[in-house]
Amino acid sequence: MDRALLAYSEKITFLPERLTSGDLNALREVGYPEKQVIDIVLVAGYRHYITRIANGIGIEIGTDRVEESILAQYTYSPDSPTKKAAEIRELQGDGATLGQVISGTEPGLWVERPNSSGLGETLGREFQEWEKRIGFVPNWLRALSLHQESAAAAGDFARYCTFGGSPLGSPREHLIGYLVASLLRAPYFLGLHGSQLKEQGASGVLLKNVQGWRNAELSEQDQGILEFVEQLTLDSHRVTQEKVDRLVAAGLSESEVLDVVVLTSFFNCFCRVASALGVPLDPTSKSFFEEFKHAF
Amino acid sequence: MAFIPMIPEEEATGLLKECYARNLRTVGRTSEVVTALSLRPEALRVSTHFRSTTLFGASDLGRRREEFIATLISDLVQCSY
Repeated sequence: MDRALLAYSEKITFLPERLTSGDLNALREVGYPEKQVIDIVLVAGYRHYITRIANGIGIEIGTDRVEESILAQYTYSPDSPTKKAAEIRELQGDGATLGQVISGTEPGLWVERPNSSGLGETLGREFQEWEKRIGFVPNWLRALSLHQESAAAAGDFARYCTFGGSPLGSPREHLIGYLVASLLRAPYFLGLHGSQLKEQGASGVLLKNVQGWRNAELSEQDQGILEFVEQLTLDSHRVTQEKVDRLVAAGLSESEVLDVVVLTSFFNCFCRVASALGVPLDPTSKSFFEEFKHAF
Repeated sequence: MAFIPMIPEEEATGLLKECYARNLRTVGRTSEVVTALSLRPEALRVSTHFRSTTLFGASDLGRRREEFIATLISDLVQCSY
């Protein structure tokens, strides 16, 4: 069971776009019950949040907490090569475009969830909050319903990080979410944020190729933010004081730099969670994909 | 040293002070990843709430398996913290 757990953790880290219902079945087959399958996804997802927070803010752990010999083994520098980068590139280099990855996504939610009568009071309230805010409950949140306390807390967390909940404001939240989703080839959040950016008037050039942000018409601040988001997502151990200072020099306050780190970390977690559970697109995302899928 | 300022426990007020106190009760100390978010107490509140419903015994996996996942992923993304 431990081996299956670790194999899954590795895949959700490096190749989330390749996760299938078969990966969840492999966990079930070695004995994990349904709720623990969701636990594994959430615990792994949270680790992608908190590691980005730690690397993005430059938090270090002291020898008062960890033995020096262990610490020495797990100390990385910004010059360390990114682990398995070549292997991942080779696996991703199978010629599949982002559009093909999206088209090839196995349909349907891959985990069980209770029907609406099985919702507890806390999660029911959280769903109402989403109805009030955006007019629907996002499918990624419904997908977690079997784990009601976590789902309600994740919803609360997401209301802070998205749809204008954070001090950065809605356009930048969606911009960060869109880039992270594109880098992780995560169709669910790509559709969610892409459709919102489109509604807010983002340029077609940016929507068609957000990873080409360097060529899009963006402010110096937004360019700086996206450069930081890209690095924190792909090579978080390479974030340095200098990179943070560059954002401050571009006019962001230190609190706003923290906002960028929190949002990027949040999306690194929940893009993986959505891909891991096979969360179907929300209705608003479907028309967005119809319009843009040929460009991806 | 962290890349941005962090507010120490003794200077915390309001929501931040509550968050620090809650973290002390549940984890037994105020860890660096908690103070890392101190410039945005509301971000700290929502993220620690999510953590408390998902980890540290809240999952059915048990602490040992939670830490297996944590250690492997931290190493894979090269996060020594």
